Amino acid sequence: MIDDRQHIDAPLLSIRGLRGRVTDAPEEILRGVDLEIRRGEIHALMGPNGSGKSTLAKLLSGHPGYEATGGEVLFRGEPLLALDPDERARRGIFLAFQYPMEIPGVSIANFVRTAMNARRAAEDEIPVLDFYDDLQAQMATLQMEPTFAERFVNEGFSGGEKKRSEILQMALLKPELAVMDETDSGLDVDALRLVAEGVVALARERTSMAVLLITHYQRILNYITPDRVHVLVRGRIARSGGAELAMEIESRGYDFIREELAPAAV
Amino acid sequence: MSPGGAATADTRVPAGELERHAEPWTEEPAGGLAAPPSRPLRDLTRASVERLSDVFGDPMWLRERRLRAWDVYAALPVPDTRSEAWRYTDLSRIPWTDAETTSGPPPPPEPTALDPRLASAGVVFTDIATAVRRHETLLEPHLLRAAVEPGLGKFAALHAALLDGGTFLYVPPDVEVELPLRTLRTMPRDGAAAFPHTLIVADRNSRVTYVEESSSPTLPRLAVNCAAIEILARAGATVRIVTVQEWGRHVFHYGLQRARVERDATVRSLVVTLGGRLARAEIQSLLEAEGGTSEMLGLYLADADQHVDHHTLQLHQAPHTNSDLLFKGALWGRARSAFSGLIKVSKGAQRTDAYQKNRNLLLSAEARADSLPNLEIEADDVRCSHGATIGRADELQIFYLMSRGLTREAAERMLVLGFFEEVLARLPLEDLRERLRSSIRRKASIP
Ligand SMILES: Nc1ncnc2c1ncn2[C@@H]1O[C@H](COP(=O)(O)OP(=O)(O)OP(=O)(O)O)[C@@H](O)[C@H]1O
Ligand SMILES: [Mg+2]
Repeated sequence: MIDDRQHIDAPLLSIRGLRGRVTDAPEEILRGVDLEIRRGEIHALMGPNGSGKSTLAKLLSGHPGYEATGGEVLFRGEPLLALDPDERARRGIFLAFQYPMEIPGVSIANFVRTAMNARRAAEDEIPVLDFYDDLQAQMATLQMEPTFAERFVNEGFSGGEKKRSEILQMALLKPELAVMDETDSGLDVDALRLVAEGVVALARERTSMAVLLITHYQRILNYITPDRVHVLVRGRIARSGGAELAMEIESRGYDFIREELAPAAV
Repeated sequence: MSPGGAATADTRVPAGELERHAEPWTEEPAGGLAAPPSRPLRDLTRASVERLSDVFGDPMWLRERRLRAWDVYAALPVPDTRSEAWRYTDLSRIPWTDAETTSGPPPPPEPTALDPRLASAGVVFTDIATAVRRHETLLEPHLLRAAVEPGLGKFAALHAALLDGGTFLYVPPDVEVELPLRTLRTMPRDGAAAFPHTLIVADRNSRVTYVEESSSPTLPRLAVNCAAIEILARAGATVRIVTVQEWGRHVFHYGLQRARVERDATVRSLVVTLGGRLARAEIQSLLEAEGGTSEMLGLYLADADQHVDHHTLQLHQAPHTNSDLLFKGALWGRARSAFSGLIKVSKGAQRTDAYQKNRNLLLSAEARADSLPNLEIEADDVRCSHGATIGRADELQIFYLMSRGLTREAAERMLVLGFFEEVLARLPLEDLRERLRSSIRRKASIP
């Protein structure tokens, strides 16, 4: 998974002292997050419910309901936080949502094709037939029915279908940095394996892609071996380690980290 | 165009019959009369209508109908915003009476190459001038009588007095016309007033789909299109009608569409309003006998300073009748829309189902929509519901689309197309749906 360039290149993503909150809400949810991700790396982000994982993902993607109150984020060496969400996406950030929105009347095929063309020049649009080949191939990998492409985005999808649809979009849009917010939650064992294998295949095919995988469970890490594991507690990275940290959390829970943190937090 | 032809196999619009001007109108037996000079509408008199009738070579019955209509027109005041029906549309903003009548009858198109099987089955699909000459006995009982009368209002009366062409479609009993029949209209000139008429008579247990598309570039001087469509669906007949209005921004469009629905008959309409500077569409369904069904769909997309006004009536005059209305509109820029819809259930019309929904999507701070759904129910055993919404695009949906790389504008456009899909999904004609989508896309890309 290690890219040759990682030692000479600046980090793909560099988060320094990031603080953030729900727009206009008084209290901060993120209280100084530091995190660096290099090309080709897979990082897992864990942490108790409400610790701020989704908030971090939303701040990275430019969600209008959240605002940074301090710190900075550099993506490919450039400040990220002032950019609109579409600009961030075109520069290569992809967020697989924990709860993706429904878009009535817009088919997945139409949506994804428009999104793929949005990052190309007007005269360089992807030929329709190439697009459908690509789409059907990716759908087959994710074991989705071909007719699924004509369904309206997330409308009436089961939890698992929503997650698969997010991964399908990710596979077609080929981001530099994929942030996956609990993509593994709500999936049955088979779907979990499929989705995980999809991510692994993508990472193998595009060795420079980095992944920030937000999860509660060790399960998915059986398929996707993280280079680093971070634990977010009350808005700060309380602990970072290798893949073994996830195992430890699986068997011991978060309390031992909270306890370690407690004196410092007072 | 040929109704039996490949109209639906091609998403491009096939040439409509009315755009082919093969024979010059001077070959008409116009009685050797000189054409009257074109005149602004404000200068017209009863004598102008007589003159026009001479030039058209009207039979006596038509001449009488015109003149009676003129009298109604002359007696009615110009509607203003004090009247409920025109509350949101201020005609004094546009100098519509400056538009001029044409100086002669429009050139009749070449006879329609109707599928010979349909022609021999007795289907008539031709322009009104030809119908007056060749199908008078079919036409006379219905023209300006089947559903459209001068008494319906100032513009209905003006239309009836100055009717200058259009389409006549007759489908005999038990005949089913499979592929849609189409008419394509263009504006004659800028500064002109046109009065096209469409008469559809679907006889007992017949079935037909009719598509009427109007388009023109935008020209400098205000033009008026004062149109009417009358539909008579006889017992057991099914009529589907789709009208697409894409006039240039210089046009004041008034369109009256009125259907009479007899026993067990069905009329389904879709009115698409994209063009014009000020567009007023009045759409009415009269459910006259048991088992009648009416579906009224509408779709409007306005931008810049366009003003669109839809006024609808679902009139239940008999028991066991059904009506369903869904109008959706999206507005950009300083565009304004008004929707006012009435469900009226008469006393004897028990066991009636009537639904009405109007939804508006505002895409700019200055756009404005007004919606006035109305119920008047005199029967007591009915199921009715109506609702109206006026809302802005959902920021979270826009964010989701933007998070995949779409610009805000592209995201809004995509939401608008999705918003209209609910209406388009009710049209079981994929080619037509795709043709409408491309019009919407084109229009939505220049907000
Ligand atoms: N839109 C919001 N309005 C109010 N509070 C919010 C909002 N979004 C997040 N919060 C609060 O911020 C805190 C962090 O939420 P966040 O969703 O980031 O947690 P998380 O780590 O993703 O949790 P989970 O594991 O349950 O998904 C929680 O206390 C949550 O209630
Ligand atoms: Mg979360």
